[in-house]
Amino acid sequence: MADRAELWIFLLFAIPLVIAAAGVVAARNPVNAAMSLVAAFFFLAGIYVLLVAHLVAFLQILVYAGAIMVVFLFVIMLLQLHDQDMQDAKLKAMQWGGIIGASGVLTVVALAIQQAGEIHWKAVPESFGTVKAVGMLLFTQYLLPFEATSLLLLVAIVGAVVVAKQRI
Amino acid sequence: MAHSDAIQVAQPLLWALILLPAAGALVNGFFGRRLGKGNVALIAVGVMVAAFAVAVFAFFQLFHGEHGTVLRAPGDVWFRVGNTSVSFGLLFDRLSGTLSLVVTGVGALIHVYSTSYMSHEDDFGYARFLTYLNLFVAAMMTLVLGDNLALTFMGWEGVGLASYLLIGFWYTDKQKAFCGRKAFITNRVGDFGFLIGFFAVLSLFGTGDYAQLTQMAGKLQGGQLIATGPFAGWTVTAALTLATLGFFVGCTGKSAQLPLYVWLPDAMAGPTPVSALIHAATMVTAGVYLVARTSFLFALAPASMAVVTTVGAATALFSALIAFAQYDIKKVLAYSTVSQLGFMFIGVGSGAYFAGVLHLVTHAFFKACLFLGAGSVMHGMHEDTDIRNMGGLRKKMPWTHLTFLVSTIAITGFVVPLSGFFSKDAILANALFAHNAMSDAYPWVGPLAYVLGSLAAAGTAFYMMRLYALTFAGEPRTEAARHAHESSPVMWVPLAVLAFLAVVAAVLGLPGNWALGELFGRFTHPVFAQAIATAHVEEHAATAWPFIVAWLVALVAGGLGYAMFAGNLKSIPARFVEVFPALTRFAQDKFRVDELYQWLIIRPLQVISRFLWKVGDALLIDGLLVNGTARAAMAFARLFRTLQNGDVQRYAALMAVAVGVILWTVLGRGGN
Amino acid sequence: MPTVSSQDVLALAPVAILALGGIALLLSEVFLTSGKRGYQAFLTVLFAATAGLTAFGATPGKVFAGQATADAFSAFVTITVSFGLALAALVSASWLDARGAERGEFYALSLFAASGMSLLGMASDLLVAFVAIEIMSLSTYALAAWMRRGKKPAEAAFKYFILGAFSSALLLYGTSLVFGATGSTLLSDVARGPLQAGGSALLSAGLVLVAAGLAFKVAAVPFHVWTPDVYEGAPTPVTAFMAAGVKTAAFAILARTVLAAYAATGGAADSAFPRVLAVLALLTMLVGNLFAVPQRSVKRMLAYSSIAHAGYLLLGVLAAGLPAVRERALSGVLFYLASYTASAIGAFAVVGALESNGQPGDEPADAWDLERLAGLSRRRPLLAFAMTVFMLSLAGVPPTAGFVAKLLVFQAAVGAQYLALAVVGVLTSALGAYYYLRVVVYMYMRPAAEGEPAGVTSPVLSVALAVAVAAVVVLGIGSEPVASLARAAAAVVR
Repeated sequence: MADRAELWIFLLFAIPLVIAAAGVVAARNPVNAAMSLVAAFFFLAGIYVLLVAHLVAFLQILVYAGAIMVVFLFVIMLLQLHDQDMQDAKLKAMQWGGIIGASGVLTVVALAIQQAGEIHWKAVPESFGTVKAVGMLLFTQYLLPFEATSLLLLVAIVGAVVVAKQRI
Repeated sequence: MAHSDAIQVAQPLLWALILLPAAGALVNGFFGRRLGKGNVALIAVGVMVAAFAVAVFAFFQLFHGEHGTVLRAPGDVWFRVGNTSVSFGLLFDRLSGTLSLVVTGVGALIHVYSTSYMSHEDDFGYARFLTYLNLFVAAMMTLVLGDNLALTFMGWEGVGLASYLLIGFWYTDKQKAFCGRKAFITNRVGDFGFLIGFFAVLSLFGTGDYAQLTQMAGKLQGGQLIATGPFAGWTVTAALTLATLGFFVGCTGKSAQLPLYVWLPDAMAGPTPVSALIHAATMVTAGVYLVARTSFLFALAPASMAVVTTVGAATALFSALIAFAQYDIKKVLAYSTVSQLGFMFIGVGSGAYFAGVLHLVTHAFFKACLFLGAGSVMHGMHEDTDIRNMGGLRKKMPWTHLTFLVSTIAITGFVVPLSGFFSKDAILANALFAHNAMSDAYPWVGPLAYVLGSLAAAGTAFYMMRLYALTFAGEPRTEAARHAHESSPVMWVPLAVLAFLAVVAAVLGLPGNWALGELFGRFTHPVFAQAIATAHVEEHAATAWPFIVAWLVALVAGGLGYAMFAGNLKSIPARFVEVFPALTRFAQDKFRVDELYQWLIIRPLQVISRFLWKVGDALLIDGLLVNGTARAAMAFARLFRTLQNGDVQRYAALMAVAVGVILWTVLGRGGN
Repeated sequence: MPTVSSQDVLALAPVAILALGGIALLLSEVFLTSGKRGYQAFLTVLFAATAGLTAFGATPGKVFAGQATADAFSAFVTITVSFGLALAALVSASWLDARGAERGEFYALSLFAASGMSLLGMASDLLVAFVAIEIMSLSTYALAAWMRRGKKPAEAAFKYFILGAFSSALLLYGTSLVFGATGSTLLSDVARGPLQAGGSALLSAGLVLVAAGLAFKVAAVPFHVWTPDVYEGAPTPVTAFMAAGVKTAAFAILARTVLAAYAATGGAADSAFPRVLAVLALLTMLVGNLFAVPQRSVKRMLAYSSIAHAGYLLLGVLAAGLPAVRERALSGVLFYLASYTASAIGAFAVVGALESNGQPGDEPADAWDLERLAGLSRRRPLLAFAMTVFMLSLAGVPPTAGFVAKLLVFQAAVGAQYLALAVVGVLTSALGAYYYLRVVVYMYMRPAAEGEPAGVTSPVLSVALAVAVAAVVVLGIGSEPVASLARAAAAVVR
C-alpha cells in the first residue's frame, strides 16, 4: 500500500517534470524556457525529497532555482532578443533525428532498468540525506573529487572572464 | 692476432658506410647553397671515396680467417614489440660485402661523373642533386648492411624516397613530376607486399634478424605443422610460401618485374646519372638482393622459387621485345634493365644464387657504363635522346664510343671473355639443369625459363646492336649529330673505368672446370650454404652445349641487329614496319601495358578519388552548393554534407542517434 | 573510515604543481608592470618540467580511498602531457606575440588544462574522471575562444562548448547508471560487475554512455563531428595542445574504463562491447583518412588526421581487452600518444608560423591552404625540413616515431586476432601517406606563389621545433628507452 502511494507521489512530480523539461526545449521565447526550467527544478526537488535526500532537494531549490535561474534571466534580458529572432525556428529534419535518437536512448535505458528487475537495495542508514552524512562522505570517500572541484570552479571563473573580455 | 685486431677496427667502421654519405647529404642539404659548387662536389665525392675505401678495407677482412668470416657491428635494441625485439646491427658478409663494394664503388664513379654532368644547374639545384644522391647511397647501404628485415625495410623505403626525389628532380616539368609520382605509387604497392612478408616472418619466428632466422629456418622441415600464432595449423611450406611471395611482390615493385615494372621506363625522366646509379646499377637490384638474402626461406618454399623464376623469365623476354621498337636511347636501356633484372631473378629463383648475384654485379658495371655513355651522348647531342637523329658518333665521341661498344658486347655476350657472357649463361645453364626442391615439384619451370631466357638473350643481342648501330655506326643523320662533341674527361674517365670492370669481371664467373673456375660461386658459398642444403641443390655436370648454344644465339641475333640497322640488310626494318604495321605500333606503345593499367586500376581509382573530392569540396564550400540536384548520385554527398555542415544541432542529433544505435546493439546482443 | 595520509597528497604533486603554476601565471599578469611577457612561456615550461620530473618520483599506490592511482601509467601520462604543454607553450609564445595577444591567462589556462589531464591519468573513479575532464575541458573551451577575431574562432569555441557539455551529460548519465548497477563509481568496483544478476544490462548501458562521452573527447567517429570545425577555428597553438594533450589524457581514462568494462562484462572477445569498440575503431580509421584526402586546408587536414590517429589508438585499446596482449597493446597506445604529441604539435606549429597575422577581416578562406606551403623549401628550408619530419611521422614512415608507434599498435592488434582491423589500419595508413606526402610535395616541388610571406618565426619557436624534430627522430630510431617506459607503465594496469 505504501508502495502504491509512493508511486503516485512519484508520478505527481515526474510527469510535470518531463513536461516542463520538454517545455524548456520547445519554448520559442527564452523567458518561457527559463520559467519552464524553474518549474522543472522544483519538480526534481520533489523527487529528491521522495528519496529522503533532503539536503540535495534543498540545495536544488536554493542554488539552481534561485541563484542560477536569476543569472539566466539576467543574461536573457541583457541579450535583448527581439521577437523576430525567434520566429524562423521550425522543426528541422535533424531535430527530428535528435528527438528519435534521444528517445531511442531513453527506451533502451528504460528496458535495461526493467530487465534489472527489482533491486534489493540495502536499507539506507537513519542519517541518510542529512547534512552531516553528506559532509562525512564529501570529506572522506569523495574528498578528491570535492577538492578537485575547487580547481574546476577556479578554471570556470578564469575561463568566463577570458571569454567575456571583448578583445585580447 | 693482427688479423683479429683489424677485424675489431673494421666492425665499428661499418657504420661509416652509412654515416659518411648521410653526413654528406646533411651538410650539402643544409649549407649547399652557400658553399658553392666546388665545395659541394668535393664533399659529395669525398664521402663516397671514403666510403669506398672503408668498404674495400672491410672486404679484405673477409678473406682472412675462417671460410665463413663475417663482420658485424652489433647495435643496441632498436625497439621491442611484445617479445620480439629488433636491433639495429649491421652485417657485412660475402653477399652484403660484394654489394657494398658495388654501391660505393660504382656510386663514387657516378658521383664524379655527375659533378660535370649537372654543372649546368644553378647552385641550389646542384647542391640538391648531390644531396639526394648521397642520401640515396646512405639508404642503399642501410638496405644492404642491415642485419635484420626491419633495417632492410628502412633502407628499402629510404631508397624509394630518394628515387622519387631524383626522378622528379626537374619537378617544374609536370610530366617529370608525374613520373616521380608513378614510381612512388607503384613502389608502394610492392612495399605493401614486403610488409606482409615481414609481418608473416615476424609472427612465425618472432625475429627479423637474419642470423637467427637462418638458424631457426635450418631446423624446420617443409611439412611440419605450425602449432601457435596466426599461422597455427599451416604447414611450414605454406606459411613460408605466403611470406616469401609477399617479399617477392615487394621485389616486383622495387626491381621492376612483371606486373609492376611500368615505373622504371618512366623513371628515365630523372637526370641520367640517376638512371645509371639508381635505376640500373643499385636500387633496382635490391629485390634480387632481398631474395638472395632470404634464400634460406625461399628454399623452404618451392612454389615461391617457381614463381620467382617464371616471373623473371617472362619479364626478361617481355621487356626485351618492347626494347625492339623504342627510339629513345634511355628507354631502350631502361627496358634492357628490366630484362636483365629478369635474368637475375631466374638465377636467384632457380637456386643458382651465386649466378644471380654475379649477374647483378656485372650488370652494375656494364649497365652503369651504358647509361653514363648515353648521358655523354645526350650532352653531345644537346639533350636529344632520339636515336633516329644520331648516327656516326663513333668519330665524334671516341671515348664514349669505345666504352659503349665494350659494354654492349659485355651485355650481349658474344665475345667470350667479357663479363655478361658468363653470368648470363651460368644462370640459363643452371635453370636448365637445376636439380633442387623446385625442379622436383615443378619440373617444367627450369626448361621454360631456359627457353624464355635464351630468347630474351637473343633479343638482348639484337636490340643492343640496333642501339649501337643507330647511335654510333654509319653516317650522321642530323646537323646536331654532325656537330656532336666529346664530353669532358671528368665524364669519360668513369666510363673507361666501368668498361674496364665490365671486361675483367668475367674472371669471377668462369665455368667450374677452368683455371679460376667458379671463383665467385665458391666465394659466396658460405652465404648460400644453407639455402643450397635446404633446397637440395645438386651440382650438375658442366656441359658445354648450353654455352655454345647461347653464344651462337647471341652472335646471330647481334649480327642481325647490326646488319639490319647499319649493314646490308637495312631495308628489312622498313619492310617489317610495312608488313606488320599494327604489331610495330603495338611494340612501340610498349604493348599498351600503361593503357591497360590506366583502364583497370587508375581510372577506377580516379573515379573514386573524384567522388571523394566532390564530397570534400561539397563539405568545404557547403553553402555554395545548396542548390544540389535531386540526382541519386548526389544523395550520398548530401548525406555527409548534412552531417558536417557546421550546425551544432545536427552534430548533437547525430551523436544522440549514434548513442542510441550503440546502446541498442550492445543491449540487444550481449547485454543479457 | 579512510583518512588522508601524506602519501595521498604527495601522489597528487604533479597535478598540484601544474595547478599552482596556473595560479602563478594568473598572478604574474596582476603584478606585471613592464609589459614584457616573454618570461611567461618559460615559467610555463618550468612548471611543466617540474611536474614531469615529480611524476617520475611518485610512490606507486592507490590514494584517496582508491579514487586515484599513482603508478607508472599515470606517470607516463603526466610526462607526456607535460612535454606537450611545454612544447605548446613555446609555440604559443611565438604565435601570440606576433599577434599582440600574449597574456598570463593563456598560460594559466593551459596549465590548468594540463593539471586536469594529469589528474585524468590518475583517475580510477568515474566521478574523479568527470571532474578532471571538466577541468581540462573548461580550460580548453576558454583557450579555443582566445582571440576571437573573425567569425570562425568564435563559432568554433561556442560549438566546442555546447557539444562538450552534451558529451559531459552523456558521461554523467552513464556514471549514474553505473552507480545504479554496481553501487559504486570506483572502477575497481565496476570491474566486479553488477550487484545482482539482472543488472548487467543496466551496467552495460551505463558503460556505453560513459564510453560515448569519452569517445567525444578522443574524437572517435561518430562523435567526431565537432573536430574539424573546432580544430580549424581555434587558435593554432591551442589546436596543437588540444590535439595532443586532450587525446593523451582522454585515452588514458578510456583505457582504464574499457578494461574495467571488459572485466565487468565477462571480457569475452565476441561480446557486444568489444564489437562496438571494433566498429568505432574501424569507422574512425576510415572516416578520418578518407575525409582528410580532399582537404586543401592543411589545418583541417590535420584535424581529420587527428581523427584517423584516434582510430589507430582505439585499435590498440581494443586489443588491450585480451589479457595475453594487454601489456603490449597498452604500451603501444602509450608510445603512440607520446609520438603523436611530438609530431602533431610540431606540425601545427609550422602551420601556425605560416598563417597570416589574423587581424580582424584579414582571414581569407585559404588561410591554411596548401598553396601557402608551396616552395617553402626554398624560402625556409629548415622549416620545410621540420614539417617533412612531422609529416613522415604522422604517415608512419620509418625511421620516425610514427612508424614505431603504428608498428607496436598493429602488432598488438594482430596478436589479439583483430587481423582484419589491422589490415584496414595498414591500408588506411597507406592512404594517409598520400595526403601527408602531398604537403611535402608542395613544399619541395612547387614553385612559390608571388608575395607569399616567409612566415613568422622566433628563437622560441625554433627551439620548440628543434625539440619536436629531435623527439620524433629519437623516438623513431632509439625508441627503446621510451618504449620500455611505456611497457613498465602498461604492466601496472589491470
